[in-house]
Amino acid sequence: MPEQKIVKVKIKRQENPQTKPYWEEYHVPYRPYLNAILCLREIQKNPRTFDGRPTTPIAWEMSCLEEVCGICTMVINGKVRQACSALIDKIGFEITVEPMTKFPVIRDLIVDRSFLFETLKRVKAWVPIDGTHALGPGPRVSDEEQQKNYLLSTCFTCGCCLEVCPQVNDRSDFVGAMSINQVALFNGQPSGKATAKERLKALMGEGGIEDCGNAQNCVKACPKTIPLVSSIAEVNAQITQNIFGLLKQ
Amino acid sequence: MICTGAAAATLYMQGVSYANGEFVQIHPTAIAGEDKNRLISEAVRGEGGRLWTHKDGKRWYFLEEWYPKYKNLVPRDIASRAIFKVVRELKLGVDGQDIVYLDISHVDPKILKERLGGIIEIYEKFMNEDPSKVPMRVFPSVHYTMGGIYIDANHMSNVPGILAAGECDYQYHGANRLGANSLLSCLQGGQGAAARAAEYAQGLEKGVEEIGSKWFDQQTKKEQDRLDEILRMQGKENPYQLWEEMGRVMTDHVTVVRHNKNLEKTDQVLQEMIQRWKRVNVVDVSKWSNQTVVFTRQLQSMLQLARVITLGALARNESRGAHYKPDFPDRDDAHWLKTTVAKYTPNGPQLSYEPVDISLLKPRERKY
Repeated sequence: MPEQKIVKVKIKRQENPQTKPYWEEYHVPYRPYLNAILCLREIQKNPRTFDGRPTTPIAWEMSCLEEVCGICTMVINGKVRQACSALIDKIGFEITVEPMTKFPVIRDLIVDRSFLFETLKRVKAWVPIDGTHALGPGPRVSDEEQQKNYLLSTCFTCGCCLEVCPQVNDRSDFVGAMSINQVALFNGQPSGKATAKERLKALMGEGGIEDCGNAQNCVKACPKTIPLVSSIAEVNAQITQNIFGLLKQ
Repeated sequence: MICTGAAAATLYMQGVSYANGEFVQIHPTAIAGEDKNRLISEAVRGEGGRLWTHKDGKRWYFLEEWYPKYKNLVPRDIASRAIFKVVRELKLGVDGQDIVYLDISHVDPKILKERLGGIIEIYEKFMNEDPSKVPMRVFPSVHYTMGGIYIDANHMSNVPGILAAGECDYQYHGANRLGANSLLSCLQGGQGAAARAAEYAQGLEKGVEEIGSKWFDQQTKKEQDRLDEILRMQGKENPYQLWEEMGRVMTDHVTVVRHNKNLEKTDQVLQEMIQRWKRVNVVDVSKWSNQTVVFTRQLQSMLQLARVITLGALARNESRGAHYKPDFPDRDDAHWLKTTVAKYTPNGPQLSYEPVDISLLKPRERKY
């Protein structure tokens, strides 16, 4: 029988927001298509460190397991990403797993990402519809426009773009690329255009678009390859046009 | 994890009836995964995807041969059974494994990207292969529960004030859901339930304030005691291992092909598991974000729901929609054109049956 290959998993743990983080190492038997989630689950089924010491199961969040919900976002081998799509075959047999650093840790790999959802409210990332009565057919959208908007709409609020942004930190309220992209998306839709100015206004002032330092890390970190820098440029232009009353509706 | 069936199962254990548990839809094409079987949508076959495996050194498009009229577009239950036949009965799975090919590589890559971009991307991400170049490796997987919380036409359950809408209820899909229809039932159910909930709340003689806190305090104490009990569990069983075992036995015997002998055995195993659950070790006694305690609590309900599914299937000696018994291959409307209603008792589900309303549409034979 061939020798059982082992995946070494180092995890940064923290019991609660008040305690200090610490590292633990575990060994997980390798098999094809193994991903970071399965490593965590393996430890759940047999909660022991690599040297056999009993420990508690690791706390983490997951739901869709196919990169559409965003809640299993963590820092794996130093890079922020979703744990579900982190295949051991691609990332190697020694992995380190840490919680995201831009959000408060609740426990182990669970972080409080409510900041993301608050910014979505701030920029009004929706199309207001009054009541449930029939509104008739929606406006027609060209194929080209649909393709462009579709890409922008694939954002799943994972927070990778905030994790890598130097402007998102303890001393700033910067909303981050994600919310600016939502404004580009909704302002670019025929039914969203009616409230375009409100969204632009929300991005002026403290924590708004001016806080972007153009590091362009966001576009590299986005798991859905959304052109975040172009979205920021587009919204920036719209804000300037709006100031001078030149915004085309 | 969010969707474990535990919410509906917990209500069931508190007296809400559960209907048609035995009807569980199996989707024919998913990427098999240890953590999750990832769905490869029917859209792939809609755009010309073909299912095949090797036979006598050649590609064998079994659905096209068996169903010349509908070919690869046969309904989910039929496609799932065909794949099971190919793999389990004829032993013709790819590389001898539980796999057949779903091939879309002959379709123009530009169309693939435009229409199936998301699916192709998921496959590439999790399987490390490009479906526009090589066929996808798929197998049937549990997909949707047609059964669910027993409700009336306005989505109220048998316990006044508890309403259900969406996949957790049992309405609309009978024994087999049609593709894309879950959204339809969500919208319809959501509107129906919302209106009924408002009407119910307005019609109440007493509001929360008038009832006083007694009932709420009582229930809170009950749940707190249950939680404390779980926190003290120091047996030998690991809840996650127990859960995996339950999944395995259910997948093996209560999915695509059902035999009474196996269903009886499965229920025995589930009953043993309900006992074994009492010997769980929660390991983690922390009172902060303790997922193991939450999971252990949910597992107790999941095991009860598994029995509802298994015993519903055992009783129903016919084949209907997603429920298929080779020993009873035909639909038996005379005896089984009925809704199964399960009521919780500590000794297991008590099943009763209700006629199905067919006043608007008469059922006819399904032929493909």
